[in-house]
Amino acid sequence: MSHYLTADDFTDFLMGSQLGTFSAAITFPGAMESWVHELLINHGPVHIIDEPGPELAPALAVASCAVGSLPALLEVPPNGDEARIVIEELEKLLGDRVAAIAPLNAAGPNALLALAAACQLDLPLLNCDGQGRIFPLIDQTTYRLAGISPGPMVGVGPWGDVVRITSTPERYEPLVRSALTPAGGWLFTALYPATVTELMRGGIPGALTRCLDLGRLLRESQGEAGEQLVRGYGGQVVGRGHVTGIHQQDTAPPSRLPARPISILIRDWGPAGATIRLEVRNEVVLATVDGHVAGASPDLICLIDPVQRRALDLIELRPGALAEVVVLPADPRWYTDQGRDLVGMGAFGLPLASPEPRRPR
Amino acid sequence: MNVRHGGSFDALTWGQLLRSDALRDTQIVCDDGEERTARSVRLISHVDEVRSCRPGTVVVLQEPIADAAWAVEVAIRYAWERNACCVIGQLDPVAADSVIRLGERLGVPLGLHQGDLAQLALRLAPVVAEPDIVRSRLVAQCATRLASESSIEGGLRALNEQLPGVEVSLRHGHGPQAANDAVRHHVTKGGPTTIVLPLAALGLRTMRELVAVVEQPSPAWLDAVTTVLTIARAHVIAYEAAETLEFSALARTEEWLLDQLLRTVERGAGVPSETLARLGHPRGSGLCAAMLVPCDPEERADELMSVALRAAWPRRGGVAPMRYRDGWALWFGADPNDPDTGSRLARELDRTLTRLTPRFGLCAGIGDPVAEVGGLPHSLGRAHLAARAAQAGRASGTVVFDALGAKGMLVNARYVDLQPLLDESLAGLADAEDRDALLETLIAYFDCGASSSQAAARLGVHRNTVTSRLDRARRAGVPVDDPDHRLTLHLACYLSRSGG
Repeated sequence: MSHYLTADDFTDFLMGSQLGTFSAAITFPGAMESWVHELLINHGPVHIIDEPGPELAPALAVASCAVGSLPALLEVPPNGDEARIVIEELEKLLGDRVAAIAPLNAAGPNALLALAAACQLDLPLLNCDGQGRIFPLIDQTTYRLAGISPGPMVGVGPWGDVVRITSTPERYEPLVRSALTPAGGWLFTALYPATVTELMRGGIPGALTRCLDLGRLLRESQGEAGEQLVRGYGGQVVGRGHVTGIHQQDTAPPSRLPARPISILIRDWGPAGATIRLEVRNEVVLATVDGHVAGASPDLICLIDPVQRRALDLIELRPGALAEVVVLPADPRWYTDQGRDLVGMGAFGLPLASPEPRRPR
Repeated sequence: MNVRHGGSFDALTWGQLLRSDALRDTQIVCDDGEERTARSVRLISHVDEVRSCRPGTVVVLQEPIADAAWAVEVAIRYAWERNACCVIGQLDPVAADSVIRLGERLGVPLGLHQGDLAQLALRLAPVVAEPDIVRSRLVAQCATRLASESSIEGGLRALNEQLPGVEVSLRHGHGPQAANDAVRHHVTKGGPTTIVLPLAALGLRTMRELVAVVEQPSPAWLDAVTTVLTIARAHVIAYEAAETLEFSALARTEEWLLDQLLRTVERGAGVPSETLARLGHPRGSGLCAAMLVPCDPEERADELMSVALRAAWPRRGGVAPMRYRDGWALWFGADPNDPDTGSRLARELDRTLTRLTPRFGLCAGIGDPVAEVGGLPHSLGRAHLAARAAQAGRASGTVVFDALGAKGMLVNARYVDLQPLLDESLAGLADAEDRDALLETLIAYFDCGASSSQAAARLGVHRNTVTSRLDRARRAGVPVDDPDHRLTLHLACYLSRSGG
């Protein structure tokens, strides 16, 4: 079973994908928005695979994503041939042709880059992803939970440096992280090579169509974007108010996470005047209301601009900004013991129990 | 050993723990909920552990959550849900604004400790387990503070600071001192308990009671507070005695200064500004004197009363009452050209006398305003006459001499030799059953220029009644119609009515 993603779908896809990330929802994808849209017009539509046929099922598929510094990605944007380079290099390494691509995460820039790669290489996109949002590390995926190794993997940097890594599954993240600075701040990567069937089984199904649907819900909402999302996907609207503080911790305990911890305080407009606290460890991993835990990773915690009905991101956020906080349920696999070990509160250095699974609608 | 009353553990409250030595180096940034009980101490490194705390737990957070604002907020929330005693973390106070606000909103006490949190928990544990030690220490601290204070206000303030959830005050009663000085407890079901300790009489100070309202009246805590009050009783009397001595010296000094002032004025010499300043003389040249006298003419304005009056007089600057003649003199700054000066000062003095504790039973008179301090003797003399008029019951409240008219002279006339002569004029009425009514009728008749109809209107009776009463007076030998005796009779009636 399959369908096509056309240029007409682009706006909904973009808006929906932005909900899955707080670190790069608007600012960075905004820079590549017109490029990807043009690719879709000229080379689209993109074939979206929901259920692979017998020919495609055993064929080789890979996930793709950009790893590293988003400011660097904005300063030195991709040349446009990165997808071709990494796919060709990986095909050489594996001695097989890549038949389909899946996004590592269908959120923010990586959703757009996967779409661009599919357009440029004329490959179908698998309707799944490995995170259901952006988690900061490349091994925080359901692909990994399913036993698929991140490698062999290939990356290419802004200056054309090609990085090939073949190692044990747990060493890919530190190895690729160490290659980032010399490579120029970011690497476009092809990773998690597996058969189409394996990658789709390991991934979170319907990730791409979910982006389209979330984008449509936001577009159609009438001043109640949060409620609209919750009606569609479950979860809860935590609150709405003005940002009163954004604090970055100067000192942070040793961690695998690339960015320093940040705390965001929002004064809720409710009659109690509660304080909503968001703890950001690359992405928002905890939301409390007057100390009550309203959402915690792996819950998807989104910040929405209720006036413009779109996702907010960390770079544009300023004290005084109006924000609505919404918690959406994550894929059920993230609430298993193995899932919590990988992306629960402990994985972000916060000694707090992860929440019980939320019931999706 | 835990203090047990009726078999139950009489736990400390957060307020009592706060005042213990165990939290000496912990900054308390939210001290709401002094009534919360402290039953155990728990050192916590995973914030979810707070959810399993028992009520009354002193929650001490440690690494890695003690210095994380999010974790302290979640701990406060869980502590509130579990009715824990308090939360102690290690945040930078500058960055802890939202955390402190949450503690205040939920009423959960919050402390910030920058030292070793495990050591703090170890220090707190025995204190919470042995609450009697803390209470004994509190009693000792109260005793020490009381000994270092020198005034009633200071002593009461010390007790109120040291005893959490207890409001201590000194209550003044009236009348003779009760013989029984036993402690009394007044229990309100489900509410505070009031402990009352009578104080021994000291001079005019009688019927005073030390009163403590205890919000959390556990048996052990009531014992501790009662012990503190018993210790405080002797201190309060000592403060009062010291205060009496102080005011005695002050009253004597001021009396002497007043005497010097009046002598200087009589000599026509200039009054030293230092003397005026020491007496609290108001700035500006104009003044108006007042006199206070006991309402009961039999009561003497003695030194004991002078000291008590000086002690009770409001300390807001200005001249305080000084013993002078048979009462007390004072004066106010006043504009001699303002026609309302007398009535304004009378109202002010009335308010002051009403608020004096204890009540002294004083009458007051206001003299004439004068332009400079040289007129003080004159103004004082008039104030004295007005006070006498007030004493004689001619008018209620403070009397202004200017409004008194001839009555001022009449009231004071009974102190001269004129009195027997005037008495003889009304001798015929001495045995009359309606003597008072006849006197009132004669006064009204003479006041109204011998008009019986005007007198009837003033008295609110029929004109025939006035005529009939005048006839009865004539029959009793009172020369109502004799012009030679009319003035004498008029004066005699006024004096007779005042009881002179």
